[in-house]
Amino acid sequence: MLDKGKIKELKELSEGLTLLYVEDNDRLREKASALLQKLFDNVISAADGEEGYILFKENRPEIVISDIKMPKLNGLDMIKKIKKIQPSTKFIVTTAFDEKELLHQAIELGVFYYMQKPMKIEELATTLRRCIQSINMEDSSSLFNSYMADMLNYQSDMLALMSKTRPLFVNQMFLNFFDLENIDEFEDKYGDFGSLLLEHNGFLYNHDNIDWFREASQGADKLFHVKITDQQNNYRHFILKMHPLPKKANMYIMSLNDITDLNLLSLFDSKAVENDEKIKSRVTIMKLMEVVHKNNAEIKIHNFYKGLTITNLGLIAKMKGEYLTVKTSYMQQKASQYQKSILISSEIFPAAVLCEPIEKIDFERQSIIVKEMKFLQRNPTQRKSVRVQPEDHHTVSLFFENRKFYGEVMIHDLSVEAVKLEVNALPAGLKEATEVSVDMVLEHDRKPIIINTPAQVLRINEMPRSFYIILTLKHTDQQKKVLIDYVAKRQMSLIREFKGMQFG
Amino acid sequence: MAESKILFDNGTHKCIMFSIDDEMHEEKFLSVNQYLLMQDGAGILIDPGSDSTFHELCDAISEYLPIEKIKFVFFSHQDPDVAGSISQWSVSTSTKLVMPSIWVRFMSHYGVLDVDRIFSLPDKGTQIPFGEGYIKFLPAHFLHSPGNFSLYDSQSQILFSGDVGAAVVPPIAVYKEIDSFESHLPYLESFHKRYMSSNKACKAWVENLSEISIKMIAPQHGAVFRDDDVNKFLNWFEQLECGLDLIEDLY
Repeated sequence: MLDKGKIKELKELSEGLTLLYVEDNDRLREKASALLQKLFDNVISAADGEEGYILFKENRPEIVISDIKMPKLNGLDMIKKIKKIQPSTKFIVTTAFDEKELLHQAIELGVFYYMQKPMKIEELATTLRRCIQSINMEDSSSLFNSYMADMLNYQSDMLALMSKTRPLFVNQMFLNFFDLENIDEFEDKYGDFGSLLLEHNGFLYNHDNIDWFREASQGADKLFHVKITDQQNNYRHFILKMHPLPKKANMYIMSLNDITDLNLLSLFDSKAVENDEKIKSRVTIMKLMEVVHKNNAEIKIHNFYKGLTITNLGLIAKMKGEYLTVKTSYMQQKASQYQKSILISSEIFPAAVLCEPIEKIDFERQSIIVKEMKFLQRNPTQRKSVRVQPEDHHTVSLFFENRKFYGEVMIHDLSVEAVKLEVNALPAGLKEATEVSVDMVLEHDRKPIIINTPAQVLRINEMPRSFYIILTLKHTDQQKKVLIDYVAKRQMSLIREFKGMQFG
Repeated sequence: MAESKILFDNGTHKCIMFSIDDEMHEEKFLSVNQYLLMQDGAGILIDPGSDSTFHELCDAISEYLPIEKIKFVFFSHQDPDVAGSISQWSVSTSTKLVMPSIWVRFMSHYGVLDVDRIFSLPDKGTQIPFGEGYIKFLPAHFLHSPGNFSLYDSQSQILFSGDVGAAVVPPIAVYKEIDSFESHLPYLESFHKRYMSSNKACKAWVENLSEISIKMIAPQHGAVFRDDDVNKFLNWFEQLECGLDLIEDLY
């Protein structure tokens, strides 16, 4: 006999479920039905397969217990018919005959359990419990799948499961955007996906030697700008990302995040970068930061130490109110502490973003918190050459029209190809493209390094109390070699100096 | 003395081998090779070597290409005879420095604090287009460095193998072309048995090459393998017991 606890437990478990019991032996049917009613709220019974099938159609029970050998329609044939209309039904078959042939047929039909008569109550209760658990599990998994499908379909990004360049499965947003009933129509209507990506400066599209898919798939999880027209022939601006599926070659999840409303398309066209109002907008920057944050994409953080560029990767860790928290390396934190600002760049930014001042540096959490930010027109992160500031006690002389300039001159920084001088006054007549010569006395390892070379004025910048004169050096091969060695060694000693510094 | 030799030239695509040594000529030494791939006026430099040979190498390269035109400098691993000139390359060109990802964090010791200058290779390697073909970075980890790559050039079908295939030869008999694999073998054995980490690493590297067609193997030290010698070398290397397989000999 089953104890009361187990009966109660099973009854709670079976709540809302219906059970059909089919048995041609009247006495057995009545006895067993009485027991089953203790375990299930809804029990219906039938005397043969035909009646069972009719009752099934009327009541749609989740579980069917059935004898096999019965008049009119036998149990297995009844199961076959039921399966056609409700494949998820769980069947438990009972038979007095230990016939292997029947057992095989039952297995082929996919019955849940095969039970020999006379039914043992314990065995029946255990089987029913397993049966109910299996139903509940299937329910929750189909619920999960339907929720997942809803999440994918109703989120604002377009998503596609790509096999190389071909979209296999897509979400509802994708179907809506491209006006498709289903993804099978895509190829007929649009051909190759790459042909939809339109030309735009700095964007991803097929041109010259660039193949959109090769670029996007090799830069796994990198963000790319793309331009696609919608059904009304408006240009839409998206951020595209390809995420490779683990252990599945050539399969990717492609996401397309619509950022047209940020009005950035014009910014990428260098001729249109005049629009200062747009470029300075903090709101725009924060929205772009949000796109990066949402995609968990990498950013680069830049600082400068005595001319040297210090760059490390970073992540946007948090965006709360007006504050932005980035995580980066210890070295970068130290550099930002020295400089009291950071520059952030990302492949999706039209220009680098200057964050100044720093609100907080948390060395334990590897984070830097900033609030004020603006786009920089001139991008110091794209410096082509390494610059260094020389030692404080260097000397430099500037010769113009064969005369030495007697104002105060010092080297602000220099690279192998150019030098930036700081002067307190401008020599009369000095302008861009003027030919001059410089005589620099630098030092490394206490040995003087002398570079005396003709040069040409590239640019003159007026500062509040001084002028910068940027000179392109016209040195000989030998002088260039000396300068390469000097800049390389100075770079090393500045790195050592920087690493050795303790700020604040 | 700077020597250079053209390994491949089809009119548009060139591979050049330089042999600029920086070791004192001892009884036996590792002669060093640097390689340059060129196409459409752009170059890729492979394992440029130490700081002491930087200018000599630049002069040799300038015979073919201005050094400013070098787009990538590839460092197969972190050893000073491969990567010692990183600082000079970083200041004298705007080239990207290509290296195994696990060595990127050590670059401040070589004079680079700017990750923008670095192209970090993921462990499984990668492929980038170059001219009409591509170059492929193939994992060669633990051969000998734990982060190490070979470079395959699809157009010349040359495999630049770094330390794999390196030969230690007497200075009076330095040669850059192998007469026969059998006579070259004695100069390979001792280096590979001591420097390579284990047969497992050798096997994995050879197996990974099965999908590419190799006409020549060009190591960083010693001589290049051509034609039949390529397969003879790969068969030998695949079976080689080395490093951990012979650990008892070292104690």
